Amino acid sequence: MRVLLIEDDTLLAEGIEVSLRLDKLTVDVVHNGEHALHALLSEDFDIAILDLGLPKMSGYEVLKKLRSKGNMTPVLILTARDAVEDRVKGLDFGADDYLLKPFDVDELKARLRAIVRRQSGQRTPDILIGHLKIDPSAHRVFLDEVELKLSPKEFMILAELASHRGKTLSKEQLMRLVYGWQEDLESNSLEVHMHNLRKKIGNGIIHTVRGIGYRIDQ
Amino acid sequence: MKLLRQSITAYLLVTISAVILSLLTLNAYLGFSSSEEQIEEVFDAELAQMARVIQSLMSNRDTSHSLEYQDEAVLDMSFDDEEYNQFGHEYERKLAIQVWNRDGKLILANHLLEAQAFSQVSLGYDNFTDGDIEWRSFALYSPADHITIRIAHSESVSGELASEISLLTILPGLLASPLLLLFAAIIIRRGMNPLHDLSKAISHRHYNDLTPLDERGIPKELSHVVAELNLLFLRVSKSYEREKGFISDAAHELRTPLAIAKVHIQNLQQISQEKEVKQYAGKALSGIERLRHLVQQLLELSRAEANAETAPALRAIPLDRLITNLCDDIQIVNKKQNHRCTKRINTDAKILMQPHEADILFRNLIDNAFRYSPANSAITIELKHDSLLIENEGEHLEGVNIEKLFKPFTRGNFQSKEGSGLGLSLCRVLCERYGFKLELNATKQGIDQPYLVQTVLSWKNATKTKPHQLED
Repeated sequence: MRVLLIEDDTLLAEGIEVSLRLDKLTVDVVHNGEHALHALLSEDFDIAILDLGLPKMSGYEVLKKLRSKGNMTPVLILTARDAVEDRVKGLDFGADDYLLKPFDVDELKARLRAIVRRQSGQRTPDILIGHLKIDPSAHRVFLDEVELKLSPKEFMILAELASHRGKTLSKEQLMRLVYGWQEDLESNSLEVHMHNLRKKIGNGIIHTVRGIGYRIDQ
Repeated sequence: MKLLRQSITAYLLVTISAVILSLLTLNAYLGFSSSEEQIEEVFDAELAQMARVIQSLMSNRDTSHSLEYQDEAVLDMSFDDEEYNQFGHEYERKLAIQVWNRDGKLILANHLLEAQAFSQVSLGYDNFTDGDIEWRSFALYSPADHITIRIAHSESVSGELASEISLLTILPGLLASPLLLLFAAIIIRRGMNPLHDLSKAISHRHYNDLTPLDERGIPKELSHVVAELNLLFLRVSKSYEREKGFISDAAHELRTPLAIAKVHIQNLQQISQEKEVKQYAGKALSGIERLRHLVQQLLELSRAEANAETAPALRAIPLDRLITNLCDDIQIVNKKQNHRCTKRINTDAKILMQPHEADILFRNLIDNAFRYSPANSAITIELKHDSLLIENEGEHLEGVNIEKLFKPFTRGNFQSKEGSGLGLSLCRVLCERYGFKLELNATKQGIDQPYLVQTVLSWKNATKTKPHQLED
């Protein structure tokens, strides 16, 4: 899951980033509203965590402009403002959820998973693809009830493709979703991970769309 | 005097009445004095004139001849009562005439005065007393006839006349004075109306109402006062807003550092393999949770106080569901304490409240019972049609003034508990807003036994909730 964290407080952003990375999530961080809007409009994110009190452009404005341009990236608002009217305003502007500071990181992660799950139309926490079962919260994968040992990157590639089932993700999209902005990759690293992943889960699950990218069917 | 200092109306009424009555009295006194003086002048002139007339009348008489028959020859000018009543005037009896010859024998008199020694008669004007009556006299000696004439009138005549004239002068004023005072009272009262209205407008305000007073129609004399008051309201209002804003902003600003600390400690807890690190991180998280609770309660209290005078958006909230859910939530949080909670909810009572505030009120009351009850003790929560009764055991209540528990940051002797010390203050503010009654009683159950704490919330006589405020 690729998360855009929009938080102006660098200390808090750092804490959340570490926490989400510990959970094998891809996290990119921006510290003001303008950068946030630019990032959300130009790249794919599974979800955005949005602080409301941002410099240059408030969180509400970011949300409003994002939705007005038809971008439906799920947004979880993270704020210190707890008044009912603030929450209502945020949700009316198109936020998917609202979490009040200080929060529990486990709750934050659970909410992120729930929102992404809802977005992809999935009803249960586990993702079932044929005989394959993915447990996103525990980062475990089972094939015919036997747990597979996947590396963190292999898990992330599988989870991204599974949460975008039916949709072909380009190599670049997939790389961004898995690695974000912060990691320099070698051009063939994705293929290496894909090769290893296919060996573990079998060849029939991830399809290569020649010249475009990869897809897991519905 | 105290009343005069306390009431402008009383002061004006009393002083104006005193001035009017003093002026009337002065007018009467001056009128009486002036009349008496004038009347005495007239009477003195009449005395002299009458003496001269008698002198001229007597000049043709042979007064020496009369010496031979003096006893009989004295001219008696007395009249009987009938003559007085029919043709005379009552004052004739108060006018005395006496004429003496050269030998000092009385030759003419109307017997109103006692026979007086001729030697005692002084010429000119004189005042003397005859019996109980004071007289004013004029005596004249006629050298041609060698007779002495004295005309006298009773002083009471001039006094009576002066009194009558003075009374006639001041009577209209005296008769009109009650009416005058009544009008003065009405005018003063009407004149004071703007002040009364202003006083009413201020005294009927809630202490939180700092909106400016209406300056329309205010008389010139009060316009400065009202302008100054409005300026004061504005200053207080700004200061109040600043204070409110400060608490609210401070509470919000505290949340971000709390979030930072919490996230990093949770990360540490997750990363570290050390049991002790995990343990101490857990304690740090408990401290952060207490801080979070305090910040939350501070914010709720600040908000409840700020909203005290605004009409809440009321909804009919089913209490059975609310209380059951709250009890379940709170019981989960306090699971380690192993309280035995009995719920008696046999009513479908609804309460008219703003939902968020209903949650705060009932959550705090139930949370208090769980928070301050000893482990393994019993808690009873009974919902009735118009009240909620919570019974729990309480420790550390020796010497605690229960009423003080409603003050902010007061926890009795429970300083080590995790409460913010704001819960009951918050509940009281909300109860005052809705007109609910909240009571807390603690009864010692026996030596070495805990207290029985009873919390009773009653909304039976809630006056501030009006049906039209219902939203559903």
